[in-house]
Amino acid sequence: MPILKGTLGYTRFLVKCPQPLPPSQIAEKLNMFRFRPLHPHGEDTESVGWCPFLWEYDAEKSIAESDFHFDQNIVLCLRLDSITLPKALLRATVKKALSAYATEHKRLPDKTVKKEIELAETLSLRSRVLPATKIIESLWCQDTGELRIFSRSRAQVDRFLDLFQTGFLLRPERRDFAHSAWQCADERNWLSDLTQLNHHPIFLPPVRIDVQ
Amino acid sequence: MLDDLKELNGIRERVDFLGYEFLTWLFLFLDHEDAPTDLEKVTSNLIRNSKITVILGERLVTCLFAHKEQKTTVASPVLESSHEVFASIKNGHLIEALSVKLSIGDINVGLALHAQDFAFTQIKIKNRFEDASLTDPDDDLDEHDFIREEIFLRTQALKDVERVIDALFARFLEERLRPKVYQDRLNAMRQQVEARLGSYLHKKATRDAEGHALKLM
Repeated sequence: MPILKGTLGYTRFLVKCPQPLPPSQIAEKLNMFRFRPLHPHGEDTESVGWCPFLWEYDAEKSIAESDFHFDQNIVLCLRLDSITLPKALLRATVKKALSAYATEHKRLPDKTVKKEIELAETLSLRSRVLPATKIIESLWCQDTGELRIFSRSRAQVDRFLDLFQTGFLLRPERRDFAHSAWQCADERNWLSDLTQLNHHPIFLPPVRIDVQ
Repeated sequence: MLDDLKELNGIRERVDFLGYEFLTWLFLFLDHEDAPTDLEKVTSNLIRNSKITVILGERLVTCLFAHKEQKTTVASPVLESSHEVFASIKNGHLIEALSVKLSIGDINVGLALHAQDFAFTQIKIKNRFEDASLTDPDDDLDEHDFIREEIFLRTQALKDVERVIDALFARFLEERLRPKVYQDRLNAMRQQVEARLGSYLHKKATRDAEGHALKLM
């Protein structure tokens, strides 16, 4: 819950939106791509979607306006559940099942049987493993177009951006140093100077002799 | 719009060194004896007439721009008196991550800046509203209003921090885009690094000589 308490860390983005989306439309879009939990007996190993702020673990709850709309701030919460099967355990259970099959049928399993046993063991193990949950919060201020995603993990931020683009049909632009420089230079008519800029080190690193 | 994006992506590829140069500039800017005066020029009337101070934090990471895997991490309660930082810069390193402490009016914020993506991390906001918690909400406010107030105050603190850092970056860019001015700044930064290293070596030599004299006695 970095938005409410504790230490924060975030990546900056800018969203260009022709006009602010009304909260009812945002709620509709969020519910359209709401988080749906992984079924214990299903085959999927990952599920991603929006969830209500402060009710992240209540997958039944639909997202209401009061869950994300706080003055001019929109709080978006992405939930990402993933199941990772312990490979060594899976290998061991498959090996045990194959050996049991050989003892029972007095012959080694053929390719098809092997695949069936592997699949059955994978599903059985999957139903016993709890998914790992990640919650990624973000603050979107529509007036200024600022979007702060409270994560620095490339993979997590990319998942967030994918869902944001799919849901809102808006493309957030990374607000890094290059973007800030471009914006600043554009405002002050320095763009031609910026495009001709080259790296000027304060000190050059010492020359290394490659002994190989 | 598309042209803007194309132009931006082109610039992004070409000026990926800016973040590293800015953090190194910022470190030397804050280390300089004239930092309070220079800072006031940059931040005066920036945020509701609040007094703004920026000082160095306790941790930084340097790297070679061409070989980013070669890193040096320095953690010290007084970062500016650590000669390792100046030795790294002298060896051609640039600053990749820098922690700073800001004071904006009655709000104190500690954070780390990152050259690679301009991300702000390890942000700790200390102010008079920090002690309030959800378990002890104000009697006049219901839970939703209390959460709204918390979000507003914390977001406002983040916005203020961004404004200060953006103003410093704009100041850096202003110097950086004028070749003559930046050349002078580069020379000044070189002298500053040499002087800081020189003073450390001088102190060390004096200490060694004193130790040697004591041994002889």
